[in-house]
Amino acid sequence: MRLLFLNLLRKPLRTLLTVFGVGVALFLFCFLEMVLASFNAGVNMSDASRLIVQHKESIIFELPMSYRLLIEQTEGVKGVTSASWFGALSQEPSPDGKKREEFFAQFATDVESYLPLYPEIKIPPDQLRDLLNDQMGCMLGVKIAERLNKKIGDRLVLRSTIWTQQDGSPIWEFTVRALYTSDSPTFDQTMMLFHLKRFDEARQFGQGSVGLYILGIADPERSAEVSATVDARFANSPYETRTMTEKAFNLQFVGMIGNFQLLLRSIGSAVVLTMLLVSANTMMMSARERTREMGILKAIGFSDGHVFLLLIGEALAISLFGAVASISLAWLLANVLHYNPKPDFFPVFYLSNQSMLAALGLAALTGLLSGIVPAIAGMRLHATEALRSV
Amino acid sequence: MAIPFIYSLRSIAVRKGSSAMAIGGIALVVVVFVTLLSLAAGFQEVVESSGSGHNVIVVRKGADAELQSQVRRETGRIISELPLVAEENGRKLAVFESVLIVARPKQGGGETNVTIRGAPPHARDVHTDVRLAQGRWYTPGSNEAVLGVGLARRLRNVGLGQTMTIGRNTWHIVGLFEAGGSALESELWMDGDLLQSAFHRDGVFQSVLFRAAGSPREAVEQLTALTDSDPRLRSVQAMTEKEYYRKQAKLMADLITILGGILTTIMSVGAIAGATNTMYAAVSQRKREIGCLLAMGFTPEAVWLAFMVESLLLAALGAVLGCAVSLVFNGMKTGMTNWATFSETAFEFLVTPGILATAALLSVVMGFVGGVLPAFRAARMKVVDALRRT
Repeated sequence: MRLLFLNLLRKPLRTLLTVFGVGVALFLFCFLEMVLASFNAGVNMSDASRLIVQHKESIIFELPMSYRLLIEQTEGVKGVTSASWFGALSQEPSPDGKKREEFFAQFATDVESYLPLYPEIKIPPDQLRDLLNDQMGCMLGVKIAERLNKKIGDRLVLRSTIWTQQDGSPIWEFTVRALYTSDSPTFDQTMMLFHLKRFDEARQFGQGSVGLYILGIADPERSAEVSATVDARFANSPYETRTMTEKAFNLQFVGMIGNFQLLLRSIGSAVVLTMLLVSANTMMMSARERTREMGILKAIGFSDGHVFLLLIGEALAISLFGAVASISLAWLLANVLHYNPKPDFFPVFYLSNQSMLAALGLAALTGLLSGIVPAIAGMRLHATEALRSV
Repeated sequence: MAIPFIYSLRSIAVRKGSSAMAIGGIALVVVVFVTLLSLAAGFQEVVESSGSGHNVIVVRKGADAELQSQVRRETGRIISELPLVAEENGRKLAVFESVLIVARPKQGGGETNVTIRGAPPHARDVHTDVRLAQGRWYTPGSNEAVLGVGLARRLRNVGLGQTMTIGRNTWHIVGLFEAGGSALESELWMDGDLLQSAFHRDGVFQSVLFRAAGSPREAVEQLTALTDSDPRLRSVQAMTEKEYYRKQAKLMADLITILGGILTTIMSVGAIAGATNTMYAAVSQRKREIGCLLAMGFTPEAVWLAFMVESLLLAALGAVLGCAVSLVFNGMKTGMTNWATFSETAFEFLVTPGILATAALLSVVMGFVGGVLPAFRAARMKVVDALRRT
């Protein structure tokens, strides 16, 4: 064992560079995993017990508020709420005098029926009471509150790109009454929710309609049946519906970015693979250079198995060092620094445990693969051959 | 005296394996860099070229895209009669347009949102880039539509001579149009009045587009002054069509550029490590050779330079290889959802000379950083040590 480490230290620079090479490849892998996971965050945060009802033709068309009662009566539905996309940008004054506009998701909803459908959302009871008592209030995810630097009681000014107030102004004001958190790392903590009642009364057009309905169903197995019943209920009406699982709904958005995601994935795999191959090659090279040393080891009585383990161990140690370094760096970046390359585009940016395990597995595989060829050669080596001068 | 250039060149050829590795590493970075940037450039080019240099677009105040906008017929009429709108053959060159999106199956599976534009027959006098490629233009007042060539490529079962059913209406596609490669080619066009009645949107348009009589920038300034003072125009805002589309391209292009930048940075760090490793190996393999050079009277500076030249050569070869490979992507057709319009936009990868130059610069930097330390080691060798047999 000591020999193994001494060997690694013999050419410290090369070892360091190889560890570094493996590390960079795996860091890249982790980063790509994070990006791809973030593209798919919406799908991962979906719950099988929730269905979404949208207008049949397009998400931009609204549905009448009167549908809510009718949907509630459908068998198998245990809760209904609605959400209307507000599409606004924050209007924070920035030091240079211009307005800093930040994009995040806002929905007008009936908070009392919305929260029971989203048990992921954790909100202190006193804050919830304040929110329900204030029609001008809103609740923010802790992450967006942090980004906008808002606390409870602060005023929040938004410019909606879609909705105008009665006087034609796109500027809306809110008071932050509640902040929500979530235990699930995949749940979006950058949303804003506010009262549908206030929204509907204040807007210039579109009264009496909502963007979409969200249903909680008692039995996720029956989602197809419930969807079909709801859609059949509104077939041939002026506002036909399309009901789907929350996952299918969110998949629509993931599909839109499709090509780019594929490109990123293929680039990523090719690059990671190549970099690992290069590192493996370096490891093999250094093993080959030491044929004579192996001969000496054998001559002084090390068994074949020992030599084999020594070489494999060396390669494994190099790649695992690289893995540990890069995974901890990626973990630090994601979980301690909360790094997000584009917060307005990725509401959730995190490193999943599976990705970390996959990176570790990849490292072990590289170590084994690059170690096995020289290790077998080393095992089969005869002391006499190896010591013969080349 | 300097060591001849040919020495560095031959040295690369001698060690084929490790040179190829270093070249390949750098080439890979170049390929990824060029691919991602050409994706962003292609997208930006298509979206930005949608704006004509003579036109001004009017949307509702606060709206960033036509889709979110609403302009009433009366407002549109007031604007179209202003003297700053150009006139041709006694008719004002202004069009009121309706825009909406519907979900459609896309080529190769999945769904995407498609922009439908309802425009009056004389819209082509204002959208001057739009011309018919196949078939004929739609007849006003009939259930006919024309399809952009970009969209025809991206959608399933939609093409010339086919029909498209949206809600309870069926449109016959009677022609395909081109629009100078711009994002308009990803739209379906039909008669505006009919579209409005089919989707219960009577009296409300999404935008007013007009050709400015003078410079469009001045027209925007005059109109902005008017919208501030005239209560009838208070709800709208004007911008040049170029400016409008530039803003739309920003989000996606920024996203790709940021991700591309991060990927390239991580990868170039890896490639630098690879190049350093290769050069160190070169130096230690050629210890005796270096000793000879020094013994022959070449100065350490000359030796340093020779190794730097070698490293830069490796980088240059990598750059050439990488650029050559990535040129294959140039003109490749693809599509992506434009987040600003929320609909499919077809475009091509666009490798610009600027991107190639940046990539070349990047690889020179990688070659320099990767080679500088090993070259110092070579230059600092003592003749006696280098020539000693090991």
